Amino acid sequence: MNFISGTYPYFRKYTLGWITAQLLGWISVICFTLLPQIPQLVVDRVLNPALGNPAAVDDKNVFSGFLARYSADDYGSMLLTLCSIMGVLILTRYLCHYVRWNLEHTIGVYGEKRLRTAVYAKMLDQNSMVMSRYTNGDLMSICNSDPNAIKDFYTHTLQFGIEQTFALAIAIYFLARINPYLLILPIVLSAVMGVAMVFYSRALRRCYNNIREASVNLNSCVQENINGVRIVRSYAAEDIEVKKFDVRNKAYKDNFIAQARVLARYGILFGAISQAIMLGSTVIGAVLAMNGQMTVGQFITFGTYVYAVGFPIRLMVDLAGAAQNTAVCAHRVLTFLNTSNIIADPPKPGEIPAKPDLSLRNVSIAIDEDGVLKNVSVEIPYGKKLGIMGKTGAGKTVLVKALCRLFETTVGETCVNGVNIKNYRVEDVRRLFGYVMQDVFLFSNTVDANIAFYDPDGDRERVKFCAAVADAHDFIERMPQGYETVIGERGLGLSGGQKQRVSIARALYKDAPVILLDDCTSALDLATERKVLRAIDEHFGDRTLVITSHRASSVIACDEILFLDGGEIAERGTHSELMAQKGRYHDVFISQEAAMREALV
Amino acid sequence: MARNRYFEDEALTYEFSASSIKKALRYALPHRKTLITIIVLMLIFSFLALVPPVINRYIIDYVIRTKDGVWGFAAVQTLIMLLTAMGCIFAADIIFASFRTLFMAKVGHSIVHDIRRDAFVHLQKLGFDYYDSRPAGKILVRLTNYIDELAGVFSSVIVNLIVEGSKVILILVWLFVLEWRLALVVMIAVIPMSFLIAVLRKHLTRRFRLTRNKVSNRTAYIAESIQGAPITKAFNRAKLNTEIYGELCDKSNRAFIHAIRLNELFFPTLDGFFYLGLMMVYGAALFFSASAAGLSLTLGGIIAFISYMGMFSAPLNSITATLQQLTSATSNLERVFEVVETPPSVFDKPDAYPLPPIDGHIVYQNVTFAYEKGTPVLQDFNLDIPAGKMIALVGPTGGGKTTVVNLITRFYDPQAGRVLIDGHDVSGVSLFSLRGQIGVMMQDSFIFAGTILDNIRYARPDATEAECIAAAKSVFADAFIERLPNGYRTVTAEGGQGLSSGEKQLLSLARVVLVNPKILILDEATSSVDTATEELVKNALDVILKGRTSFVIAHRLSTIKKADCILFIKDKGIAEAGTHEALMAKKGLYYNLVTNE
Repeated sequence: MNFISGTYPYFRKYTLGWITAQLLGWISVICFTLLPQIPQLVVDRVLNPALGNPAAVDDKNVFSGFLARYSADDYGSMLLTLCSIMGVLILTRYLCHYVRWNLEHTIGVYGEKRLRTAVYAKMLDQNSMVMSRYTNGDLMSICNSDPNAIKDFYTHTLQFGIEQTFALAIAIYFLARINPYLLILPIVLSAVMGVAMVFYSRALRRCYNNIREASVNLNSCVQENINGVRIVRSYAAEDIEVKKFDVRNKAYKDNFIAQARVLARYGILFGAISQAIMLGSTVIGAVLAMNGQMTVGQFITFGTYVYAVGFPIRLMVDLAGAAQNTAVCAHRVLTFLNTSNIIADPPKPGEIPAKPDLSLRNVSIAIDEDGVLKNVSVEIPYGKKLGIMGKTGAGKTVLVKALCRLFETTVGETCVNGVNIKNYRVEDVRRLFGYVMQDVFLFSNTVDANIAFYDPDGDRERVKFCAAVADAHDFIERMPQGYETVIGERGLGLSGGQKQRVSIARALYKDAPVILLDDCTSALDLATERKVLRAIDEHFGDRTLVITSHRASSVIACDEILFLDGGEIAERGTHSELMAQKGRYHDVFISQEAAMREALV
Repeated sequence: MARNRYFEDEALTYEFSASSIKKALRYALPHRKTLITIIVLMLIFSFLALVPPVINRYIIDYVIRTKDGVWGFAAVQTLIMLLTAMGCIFAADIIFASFRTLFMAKVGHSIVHDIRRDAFVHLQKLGFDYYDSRPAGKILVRLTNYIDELAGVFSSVIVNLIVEGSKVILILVWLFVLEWRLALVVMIAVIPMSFLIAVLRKHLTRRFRLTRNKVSNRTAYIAESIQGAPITKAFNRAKLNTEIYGELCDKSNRAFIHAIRLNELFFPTLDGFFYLGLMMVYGAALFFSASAAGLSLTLGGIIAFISYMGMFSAPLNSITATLQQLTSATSNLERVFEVVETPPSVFDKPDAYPLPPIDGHIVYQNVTFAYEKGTPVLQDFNLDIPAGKMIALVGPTGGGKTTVVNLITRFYDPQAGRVLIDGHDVSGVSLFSLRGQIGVMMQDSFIFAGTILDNIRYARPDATEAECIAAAKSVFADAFIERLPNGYRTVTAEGGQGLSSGEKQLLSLARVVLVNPKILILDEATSSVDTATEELVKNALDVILKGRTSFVIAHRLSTIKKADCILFIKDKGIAEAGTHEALMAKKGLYYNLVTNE
C-alpha cells in the first residue's frame, strides 16, 4: 500500500470530507447493529404475550427502557413505540447512507480530477525521450483508466475497509460480552487467513499486472487499427487486422480467466476458514450451552454475531484484491508522474529577448547511442534566413528540434543571445518559435480553431490574414462552412497540401520572431510553394527563418545553406558559394534544374 | 458531413429496445449449458441454505434444551451428526462457490470477447465517412472501456435474474401458504416499492447515458492530446489544454454526480420497504391475534414468517443491484451495438462476386461524387484508361485528384455513374478481391508498431524475408534500413516514431511493391523523399510501373512527364488531358503550371 503516500496528496484537500463520510458510515453501522434488538422486544413483549404466553423481560436489551412506562398489556402502544424506534433507526441509517455516498462520490471524482489534470499536464510537459518509451495505449491507460482505479480505491476500498474494521470491532465486542471463549476460534483462524492473504495478494498482483499488460496491448491494437484505417482498407488487410486483434483479444480474456482461477482457488481456502469459524463457534456454543454456561437466547444471538464477525473478514479478501489492482495502476501513474527526466526551469531564468540571436555550438545529439547530429555549429542572428538540405534521415529535423529545445543536446549548447537556452524558461524559449512540423497534426475542430491554436481568443482577421499568407484562405472559403468547417482528427477531409498550408497558417498566427519550416511544403506543387514562401518573405520578412527541404528551389534565397549528411554539416555557404564548390548541393541543384528544364522542352 | 468534436455529445442513433436485449442474449447462447448448470446448482444451493436454520433448531431443541437427542441417538451423538451434516453442506457450498466464480468469469469474459470481436470485425467494414465524422478516441472507447465494463454484468444479470427471480416467487408463494392475510400485507409494501424502483430506473438510465457521453468526450480529448502533444508543446498550449481538460472532467463529474444523486436512492427505497413491511406484519399480527378470526400462526410461525420475509428481501436486493448494474450497462451496450448496427456506406452487395484476375482497364462513366451533399467534387466525370497505361493527375490541391483514385478502390461510392475495371462494375464485386488487386500508396504513410519486416509484409504476412528485402531494395529503402540498429528487425513504434517522413514513405513503397498489384496508385507517394533518393526511386518506378495501370499524383515534373496521359483536374472534372508534349504545345493550364516552375 506504499502507493498511498504518492496518490493521497491529490485527495488530501478532501480529508475532512472523507472523515465525515466515514463517521456517517459508522453511525450507519451502529444503527444496523442496533436494529436486531427491536424484533426481540416485539416478540418477547408484544406478540408472545398477545398470543397468550408469558412475557419475557430482558433488561440487557438496549431499548427495554422505552417500554417501562407502559402497562404489560398495552401491546398497541408498545408496538407503536418500538416501530417508531425502528423508523428512527432506519431513517437515520438511510440519511447517513445517502449523504455519505453522495459525499464520497463527489469528493472522489473531484480528487480524481486533480490527479487526472496532473497526469495530463505531465503528459504535455514530458520530455519527448520519455514519451517515446510509452505506446499510445500505455499513455491512454495512464491518463484515462488508472486515475479512475485510484479514485475507486479511496472512495470504495479504503472506506469500506475502515468501516468494516469498525463493524468487526463492534461484533467482537458483542461476542466477548456473551462469552470470551467464543473469541478463540475467530482470532486463530483470522491469523491463518492473514498469512494466506499475503500469498493471495502476491498471486493476484501478478494477475493484475498481466491483465493490465494485455489490456494495453489490446488497446494499442485497436487504436492503431482506427488510426491506420486508410492503409488497412487500401490493402484489403481487414482479415490480417482481425487476426492480430484476435490474438490480443484472446490473451486479454485468458488473463481474466487466469485471475478467476486464482480467485476460485483461494476462494475455497478463505471460504473454508470463514465457515470453520461458523461451524467451530457453533460447536463451542453448543458445548457451553449444554454445560449451562449459556442460555438458549444467548446461543441464538451469538449466532448472529458470529456471522457479523465472518462477514467483514470475507469482505476484506475482496478489498485486498481491489487494493492490489490499485497498486498496479498507481505504480504506473506514479512512475509516469515522477520521471525526473523533465525539463526544469532554472532558478533564475533569463529575460528572453524579443529579437533573439540563435546559435548552435558544437552540438551533438545521440538517440539510443546513435549519433543523429554530430558537432554542428551555426550562428543564426535575428533576421537570418537559414536553409537546411540533406538526405532523408540526415538530421535536419533533429537540428530544428534542438533549436527550440524539443530535443536536448547531448554535447554542446544551444544559445539565445549567447546564453545557453537552459538558462531560460522552456515556455519562454518555445514562445520564440513558430514551428511547422514535418508530420502534420491537426485537431478535430474548426479550421478557425486550428489556425488560432496559439491564442484561441485572438484577432479573427489575423486568422484570415495568416491563412492568406499560407495560401489557404481561398480553399478554406470554398469549404461548406468556410472557417467554421470542422476538420477531422489529423486533418481528415483535407488533402495533404491543404493540411500543410493550414499548419503553416497556424505557425504564422503565433507571430513568433523565428519561423521554422520543417519540410512542410512537400505536398505543395512548386508554384504554390513559391507563392507561400514569397508571401512569408513579404509579410514576415524581418523574422528569422529556418527552412528544411529536399528542393534546392526552397532554400535558394537563404543567407546560408547547410547541407547535412549523416548528422554532420557536409557543405555550407550561400547558394552561389555552394554552386562554386561543385559539391553535393551543386549536384542536387543541377539534377533538379535539369528535371525542370527538361520539362519545359 | 457533420463532424463530431471532443466537446460535443454524440447523438444516440441507436435506442435500446426489447430486440436489442434479444441480441444481447444471443451472445450468451453458446454458453447456455454452463449457465443452465450454474442456475440449476444455484437453485439447489439456495434451497440447501434453508437447511442450516433447521439444524440449528434441532440443536437448540434436542441438544441444548432437552438434552435428549433425537432419533434414538444421545445428545452428543446428535450434535456430532448434525454438525457433520452442516459441515458437508458448507463444504459443498464452498466448492460450488469457487466453481461458480471460475465458470461465471469464463462465460462473462467469453461473451465480452465475442462482443468485442463482432464490434471490431464490423468496424473493419465501415467506410472512411464513419471514421471521418468523429474523433478516434470516441471509437476507441467503445471497443475498450465500454465493453470492459460489461464483463461480469452480462452473465450475472442472466443468472441473478433467473435464480433470484425464482427465489422471490417461491418465497412469495410460501408466504401465502403460511398466512395469506399477512402475505397480502407484505404485498401492500412491495407493490409501491416496485413502482418507485421502476421510476428511478427510468430517470437513472437517462442520467447514466449523459454521463457516458461526457466521459466519451473526455476520452476523445485525451486520445487526441496524446497524439498532438508535440504540437501542443511547440505552441505553449499546455496550460490552456489542461484547463480545457479540467472543464471536460468537470462536465463528466457533474453528470456522474447527477446520476449518483438518484442511484443512491436505490438502497433506501428497497431496504425501507422491507422494514415498512416488517412493521406492517407486526401490526397485522397483533390485530389478527386480537380479532375474532384469530391468527393461524403460532409465535414460532410468526418468527418463521418474518425470517422468510427477510429472505425475500435478499434476492430482491440482489435483483435491484443487478438492475442498477444493468441500467449502467445498457447505456454502454447501446453505444457498442450502435457500432455493430451502423450500416457500412461501402459494402459488398448481396450478389457480389470476386473480381477475377484483372488486366487493369479502367473506365469512369458519368461519375458524380460529393463528400458533402450539394458540393460535388466530381461531376459527370468520364475517363477510359487502357490497361498498362500510366496516368498522372495534376491540378490545384483540393481539386479532386485524390477523389478520382479513391473511387477505383471504392473508398467511397459515387452518387451517380459507375467505375468499371475490365468491364466489371467495381460496386458489384467483393471489396476484398477488388482491393487485393490494387496497390495504393497514400499521402500519409502509416507505419504499424512492429519490425520493419512486419511493416513491409503487412499485406502479405506469408512473404519470405528474401522477398521483403528484394522489395525494399527495388525502392532503394534498403540503404536506410541497413543503417538502423537492428536492420530489418528494428522495431518501430506505432506511427513510425524515429523514422523521418521520407523513410516512412520509402517503407510504404516497399510495402506496396511486395503486393505486386495490377493497378498501382501513388498519391504523393514520394513527396518527402529527398531528391537523391527520389532519383533512384524514379528509376525504380519505371520498372515497377511496367505492365501495370497506374495513377500517379505528384508535383514533380520529372515524374509526371513520363505519363502516357496527364490529366489536369480542376472544377469537378478534367480540364485538360494529353501527353506532356501535347499539353505543353497547347499552352493552357498545364503549360502555365509547368512554366511557373
